[in-house]
Order: sequence, then structure tokens, then C-alpha cells
Amino acid sequence: MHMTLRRTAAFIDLGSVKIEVKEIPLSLRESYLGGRGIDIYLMYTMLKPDLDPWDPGNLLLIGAGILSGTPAPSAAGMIHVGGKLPLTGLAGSLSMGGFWGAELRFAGFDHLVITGKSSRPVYLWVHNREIEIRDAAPFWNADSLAVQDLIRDISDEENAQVMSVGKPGGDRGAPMDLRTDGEHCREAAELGMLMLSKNLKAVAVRGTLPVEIKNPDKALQHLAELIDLFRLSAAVTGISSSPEELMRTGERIVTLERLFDIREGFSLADDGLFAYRHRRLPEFSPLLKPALARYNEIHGWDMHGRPQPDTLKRLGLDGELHRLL
Amino acid sequence: MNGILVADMERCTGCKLCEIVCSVKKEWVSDPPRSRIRITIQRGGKNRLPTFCQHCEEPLCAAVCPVNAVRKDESTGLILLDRELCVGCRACVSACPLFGVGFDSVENKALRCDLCHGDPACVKYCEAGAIQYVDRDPFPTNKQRAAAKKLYSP
Repeated sequence: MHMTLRRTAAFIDLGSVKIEVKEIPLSLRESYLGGRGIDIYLMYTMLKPDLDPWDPGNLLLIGAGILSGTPAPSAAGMIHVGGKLPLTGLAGSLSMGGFWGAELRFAGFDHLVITGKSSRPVYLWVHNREIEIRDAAPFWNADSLAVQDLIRDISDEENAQVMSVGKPGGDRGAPMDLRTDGEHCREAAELGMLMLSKNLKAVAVRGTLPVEIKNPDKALQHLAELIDLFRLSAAVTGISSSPEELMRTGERIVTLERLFDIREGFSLADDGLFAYRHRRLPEFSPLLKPALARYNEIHGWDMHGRPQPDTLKRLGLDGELHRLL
Repeated sequence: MNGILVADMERCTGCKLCEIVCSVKKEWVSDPPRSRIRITIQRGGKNRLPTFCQHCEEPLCAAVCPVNAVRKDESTGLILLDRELCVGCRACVSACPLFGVGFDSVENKALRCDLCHGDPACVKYCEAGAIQYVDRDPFPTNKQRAAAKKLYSP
């Protein structure tokens, strides 16, 4: 009988150049799984309310999905990026596909928690349980895709996966995108700005270490049964969750993101879509209000979008949230 | 069992799931460097090249092995590796013209595809249907010809 699998987080302080690797407690993984869940948990418990997002103490969180690097189609490479957004101060959440998430796990890490501001332009080189802070000055102004190839050339690792930010510009950096590779680019202006505010241009990963699977036979069997994700997830991670429990974990994650935003002063008045979306889809605008009411109702949040006490209780978010990691 | 693997490069999406399922099935961990099948992806994701053992009629890997750890099983057509004998010299890895031999850098031995005893995991789990397990005889020469034409025509 295998132990339930371990997952680790590397806490990287770019200011004091300190790196600490910690194991993520099982209780946290049961409540928040990986990627997006652990990211919001860390952001909620580590950041003081009202912290200026441009403060070096803001976090850039990079978390591999719980099934990244395992036989789970579509989930196999997922990576989540979080942080307090520089322009709005709200909880940033971005998921990207590609191979980056899998590569991070093959390099022996599951989460990177980046804080502080480097005194010079740098990028991170993550390779088989080691993390190096390397000089990025020569390509600080290069665009995001060029940087990826440059880092592959410098490291002589054609299979390195690189998450990079484009050209900085304007006051505190004009909007730019954060991307893993060409095909998996997502609009991520604010998280890109947050990354550059730490003098961090890119995070490159290359790993050749195995990722353990709790029950390999079962994982392949469920993959063949295409696709019982709940059972596959249990066979890979050793954390068994019923579909209902997994749904509740998803709810817990989204609700904690909402609590973070409320703590930062978010209210119903802020709960809309960007103006350009209204311009693009004018016929959609009158539908927004009833849709929002229904959305809040489904989540068990009140009409102002605030989680109701019984919802918090059901999700185990009713007491003080202690820092376990 | 007298089959071999054939790959359709145009169907391969480069998802690398075959590398993962191969290592899970054979090594019990998700470990692409120890997969028996490898997908090489060109920069920018443009071209994808699956490579694996072709179980050749006259295997060069067997010819160069200094300790005779590689031999062809005449009844099944499989190239077999005796892991006890293998000294990890990598001669077979360099000799294979089709990059079909892998190397296990955990145990320092060559990695050899055994076609999962007639039920290859890479074929079973390839959602794109890019890898097929076909009879060696008759060999799909027409398909090969068509593929070669696409690759090498001016």
C-alpha cells in the first residue's frame, strides 16, 4: 500500500534570495486539491488585507493541477497562475494549458510561491529539485516568445518549458501578456505586470524526474473507461473524493476567491463585465442582472454576492482560516 | 502476435499522452524519459515526430551489442532485451537509425518496447488514433509510400 502522494511548494523570495521547499499538508490538499485551490488558499492566508499590489510582498503563485504530468487527458499539462492583481487589487486567476504544468512536476515541484522584488532583472531556472535565479538583463526587452527560445538556447535544453512576459513599457509596464508557449497564450496583462514588477522576466522549467502514481493499474483502467475523472483522480493522488465532494471543493475555491475580493472592498457595484464586452454584445447587457442574481443564488451567496453563513459553514470556511503552509 | 507499430505523423497532436501511459504501464510512475515511445516536437509545435522500436528484420541494435543482450525472437518477430545481461553501454541507442531505443537512466539499461505483449498502451490511449498496431505481414507499403511522398516530395 502506497502512502498518499506528496506535493511540495517552493517559497522563493526574490528580494532576500532565499528559497524554502515545504511539503503541502494532506488536510490542505483534501480541502483545496492543487493549482487554483492551493493558490487562493496561500494568497488569502499569506497576504494582509489592503496590501498594495505593487508592494514587493505581493505574491506570484504558480500551481500545477493535481493531475498535471499524469495520465489524465486535457488536465495533464495544466498550470494555474495567481496573485493580487495590480490594477484592481482582486484575486487573479489564470489557467494555461501546454506542457508547463507537467514539466514543473517532472522537475520535482508542484507549486511555486514567488515573493519579493529582485534587485536586478532575473528569470528562474527550475530543474530537477533545484531552483536557480539567473540573469535576465540581456533579454529584458525581448518579446515573450523570443525569450522562450533564447532560454532554450542558453540552457541547451530544447525541452525546457518557459513561461515568459513580453516587453515592458510605459508607467509600471503597459499591459502585456504572460504566456507559456505560442499556442497557449492567454490574455494575462495584469499577472504579466505583476511578474515584471518583481524584476522577473520568465520562469523556465525542465524536469526528468518521475511523478508517482498511487495506483498505476487503476489509473490506466479508468483512463480507458474514458473518462471517469473522479476515480482517475483518486487512483493518481490517493485522495478519494466523491463527485459531490469534488464539487464542494470547487465551490470552496471559488468562494474563497470571492472572500478575498470582498476583503479588498469588492461589492455588487463592481460585479459587471468590462465595457468592451457590452459594446461587443449589446443584446447581452439587459440579461446580465438576472444572470448575476441566478449565479449568486447557485453559489449560495446573497444578492450582493456575499457568501451566506450557511454556505460558509457547509464549505468549512466559517471559522478563521489558519495558515497551515 | 506478429504486429508492429506504425505512426501517422499528420494525426499526432503532440499531446505526449503516449509517453506518460507507456511509463505508467512499464515503470509504474509517470516518467516520460523512461517511455518506450517518444514524441519530438519542433519549436513552435509545427512538426511532431513519434519514434519507437520498429522490431527490424535484421536488427542493428542486436548486431552492435557487445554482450549479446539483444536478440530477435523468431516466433513473434520481437526484439528482446535481456536486462540482466545489459551493461548500459548505449551502443544500441546510437546504432538505431530510427531512434527507436531508449535509455533508462535510473537503472542504466536500454529501454526496449515489447509491444505490451500484443496490446500496446500507446495505441490504446492515443485519442487521435495516430499510432496503430498492424500486422507485420502484409506490411502496409502503400501507406508508407503515401507518407514518404508527403514528407519528401519537392
